[in-house]
Amino acid sequence: MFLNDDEKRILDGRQGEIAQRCMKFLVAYGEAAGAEKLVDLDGTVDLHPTGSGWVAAYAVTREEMTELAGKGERFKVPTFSDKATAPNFIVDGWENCGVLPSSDPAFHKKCLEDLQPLIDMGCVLTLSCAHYLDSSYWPSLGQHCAWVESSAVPWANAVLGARSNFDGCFHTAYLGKVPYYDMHLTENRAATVLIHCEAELKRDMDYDLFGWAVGETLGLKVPAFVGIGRPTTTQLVKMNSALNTGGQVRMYHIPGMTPEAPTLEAAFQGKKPKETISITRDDLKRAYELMNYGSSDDIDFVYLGCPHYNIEEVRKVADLLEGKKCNTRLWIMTNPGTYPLAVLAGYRKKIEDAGALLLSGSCPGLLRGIVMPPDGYPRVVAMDAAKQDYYMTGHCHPNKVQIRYGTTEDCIDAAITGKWKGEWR
Amino acid sequence: MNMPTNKIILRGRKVIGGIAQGEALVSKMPLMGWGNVDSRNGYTVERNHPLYEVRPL
Repeated sequence: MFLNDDEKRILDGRQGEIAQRCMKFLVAYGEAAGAEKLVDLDGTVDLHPTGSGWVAAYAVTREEMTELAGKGERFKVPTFSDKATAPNFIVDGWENCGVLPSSDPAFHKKCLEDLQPLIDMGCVLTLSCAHYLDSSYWPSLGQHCAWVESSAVPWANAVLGARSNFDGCFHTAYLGKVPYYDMHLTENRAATVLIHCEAELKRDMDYDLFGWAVGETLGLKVPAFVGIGRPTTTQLVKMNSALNTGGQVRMYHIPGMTPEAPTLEAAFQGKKPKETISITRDDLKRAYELMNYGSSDDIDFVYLGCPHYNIEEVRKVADLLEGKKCNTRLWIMTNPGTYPLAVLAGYRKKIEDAGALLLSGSCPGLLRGIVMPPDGYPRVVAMDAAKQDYYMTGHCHPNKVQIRYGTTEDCIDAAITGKWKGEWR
Repeated sequence: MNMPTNKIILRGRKVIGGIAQGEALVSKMPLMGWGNVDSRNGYTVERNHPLYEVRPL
């Protein structure tokens, strides 16, 4: 891989051993990815806050970050944090969650202390998989970024028109550089597959299922969607997260809507589609049946908030719960930036009055399935998100957890009655 | 165990160097890398996967 003189100096250790280690990581990763050079970031970084690196040989410790911060070293571009990856760390609402170690004040304090070096180096602790929506700072069109997390990366590429592979981490934020390959190059961003949606997408769940069905079909290919209507922001978030969990879709176009596709021709950069695929209502039904991994209708846990609920979703469930009483444990997860707004508007009170809990910054996946007091697994979970649904069974392994999947309304009804009544309609 | 009848050479690029040897578990379906992995047992716990809980002999 080509390195300029500055980059070579860092690799030679002239900027210290930690910078050298970070550069060695970028070179190893860049060469494995087939990158010809590095590119300077001019956008933003999104990183998992406790992740010191994916490859042990290049890991940077908390003590080393503290040392760098003490010397006045800062991240090179605006840097935001994804979910709190410290296991069992819940940012807001932890006091009443009833689960250990999440509800232990000493544990909570330790988790916050561990994040201090990142704060000192300039990372904004947004602590959410969906911080891009409510409490962050957007890169502009065409800017080079380093993001991470399955729903965030396609959001950066497709919805914002920024350019990111899956490589937001300490190393890329500290050096302000990433390997120049894949999504950083214009030609790789062109659609190659035309997706005709023949099913009418109306409910939020329809977009979730559509995203899953397309993702499974496409793998890494870049699609352009025709016939999906005009999704709301909530629907876009759902589709976006399912696309990159059901498959590996890190870029897509909605002609007439997303910034790199003013027209269908622009989405394909003037070339002809290599494939055309139709998605029908049967495909959505198949995805729905895959998500409904369970036979029992007796729900003992209901989870809403994957990706972390935005303020509009929190408002909607607060309204649905007003004057009701839950018979089953219900958690609603938002992001830490949205949480105070939900308190201010009285949504948290409505939720708590119904016997449910509003929390922020984590999810059952990150809690490794530990959501039942004092430190146990649920048996049958209701939820409205394909992404969490598909991860949850693995996170609870080898404990067998059943999942009932449906609309937000189906889930609220299950929380109130304790019974699952959702079905494909 | 069946003896291999043919040899396939796969070429790739490394992040960490080294040599490893073992029986290949092959599937047409991609594997998740973040969730649904049981790293202690070395198999996928992705419930829809043909290699669910399958480990090499």
